[in-house]
Amino acid sequence: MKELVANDGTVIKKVKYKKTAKDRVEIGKKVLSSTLAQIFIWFFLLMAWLSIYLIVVKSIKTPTQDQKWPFEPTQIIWRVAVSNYSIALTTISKFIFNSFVITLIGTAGQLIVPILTAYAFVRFRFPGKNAIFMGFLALMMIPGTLTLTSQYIIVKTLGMVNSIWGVILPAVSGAIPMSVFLLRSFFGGVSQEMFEAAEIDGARDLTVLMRIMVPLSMPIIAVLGVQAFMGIWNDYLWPSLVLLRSDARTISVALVSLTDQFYNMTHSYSVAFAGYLISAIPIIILFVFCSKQFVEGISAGAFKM
Amino acid sequence: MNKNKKKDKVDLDALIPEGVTRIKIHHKSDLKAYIWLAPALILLLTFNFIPPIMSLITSFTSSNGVTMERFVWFANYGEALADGVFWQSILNVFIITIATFILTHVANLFLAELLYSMKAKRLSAFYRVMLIIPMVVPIIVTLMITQYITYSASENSLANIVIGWFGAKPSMWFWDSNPAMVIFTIIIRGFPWAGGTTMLIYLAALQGISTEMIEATKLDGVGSFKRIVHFHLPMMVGQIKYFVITGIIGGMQDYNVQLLITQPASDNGSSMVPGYLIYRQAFTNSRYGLANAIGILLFILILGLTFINNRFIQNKNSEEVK
Repeated sequence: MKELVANDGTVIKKVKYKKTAKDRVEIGKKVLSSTLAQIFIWFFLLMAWLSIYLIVVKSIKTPTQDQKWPFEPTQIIWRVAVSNYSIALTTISKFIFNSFVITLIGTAGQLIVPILTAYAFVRFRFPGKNAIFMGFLALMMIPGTLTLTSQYIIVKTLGMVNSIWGVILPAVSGAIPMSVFLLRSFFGGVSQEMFEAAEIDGARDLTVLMRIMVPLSMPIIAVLGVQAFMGIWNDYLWPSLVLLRSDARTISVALVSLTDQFYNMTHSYSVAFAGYLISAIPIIILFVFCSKQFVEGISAGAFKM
Repeated sequence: MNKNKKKDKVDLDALIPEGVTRIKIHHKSDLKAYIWLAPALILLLTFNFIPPIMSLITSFTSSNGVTMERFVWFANYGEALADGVFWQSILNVFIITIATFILTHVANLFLAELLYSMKAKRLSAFYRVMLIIPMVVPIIVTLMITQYITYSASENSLANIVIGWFGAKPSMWFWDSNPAMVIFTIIIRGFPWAGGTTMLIYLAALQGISTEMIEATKLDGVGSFKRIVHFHLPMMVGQIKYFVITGIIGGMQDYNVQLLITQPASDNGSSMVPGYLIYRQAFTNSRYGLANAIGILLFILILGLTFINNRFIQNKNSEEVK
């Protein structure tokens, strides 16, 4: 059926419309391509979720189940499942605390320092402003591997080996150039009139920052926050170099050594996988709360040059 | 922008009636800016500015990390450049970075196009979230799953089962005696390379293209492939440039796989990359001088590549503008 519609939108007459052979081919093509698209998307989805599936399924198996059916879901024996998780939890609990302390302070630092810096770049005029900003951009080009050894020597000289600050401060520092670069473009987009108004009301810079800048830039701050949290929580190399005392280790360092240790004991990865899942819980929670802001921030168009 | 700002300032001053002292806004220069900058400047100087300079100086010495020892000038550079493993590592990292980059970005563009072309917007948004959630799996865990489950050398590894369906013999993957196979596994482990923030950035860029333009091309009967190459890609030059630059800087330094899985020894450079070579020379062999010389060489390489990229992409862009 096709409707003949007048200019003002009223239906004049309904006309029977016969689909021609050409129309059928067109419709067929459309159905085929959208079905194909769905198949592809589902393939990507399944592959993306494969790791999560493997972690969950393997973490609740007995060693025999794991050897017989390495990938299939098996009958859940609750006693085994619970014991896998409780063993994993007791072995990594002290590292969870270390990771939490380092990650929370580090994330706060990775947000506060670049926010202050970006605000200064957007709001103040001062000598050397451009030179300092160019210096920031140049630092983005220097590979981390080049500075790795010298950074380690500095951390050692400052007596920060085995201290949480030896992990936190370099992590905060390393994130500054990129974060300032992204925040500056976001802050710069906030309308100038708003500040003038706030200033005439006598608002101080800190108030302007907290009441105007930060709320208006929440999407990019969410992106930086999530990335900071995940980056520090999951970092392996640097903590493994700095935190040498075994009780000072972070969770990702502990998990790597536990994987081998448990495999040698039980010939299965169940306990290690339970540990992986436990270690991902804080990030899952973070994602539940921030995913909307995160998607918004990524989509806001700051990620281009 | 800057001009506008100045204009606003002048107008505002003029608006203030006589006798009213305007609340102090900005002097010509705000020295208090340095207070705001201080934390960043102190941290960057300590951890990001001094270390490269130290590395540069150390690269001319026979330092072992404790003492500077003596100046050996270019001996470290000579040693690095004369070492076959170094050249092998450069070749490896080139192959791995370029192959992984192309595969990742073709896959993510393809996936973003699929989600973009979907009529059901709610379903598309649902897929989008479902494709980001796997980001919660740490790289370390992904690598361990790759090492022990999906690409393990055992006959029961997932990859061996899958290639078995096509009648192929089980492979040793990361532990294969053929170096090419090891490199191939390092590239293929990311299969199907799509999802996460890269896909999101592409999808957002697509959604930012004006719909009128897309509709116009549709009416003109331009095929999907042509539409993507001639209309979508030029609109995403900014994003692609960002990915190329960060991708090269990140990819050329990466050695997670080498550190955790393949651990190539220095006498067998089959999967060696410069990053891991630096790590080994510094932390296993205590040869900080040599490690830093390799680091400087890597830096020069990355800087050169970034420069070339910058020119190349800008040139293309300006052509599009014409």
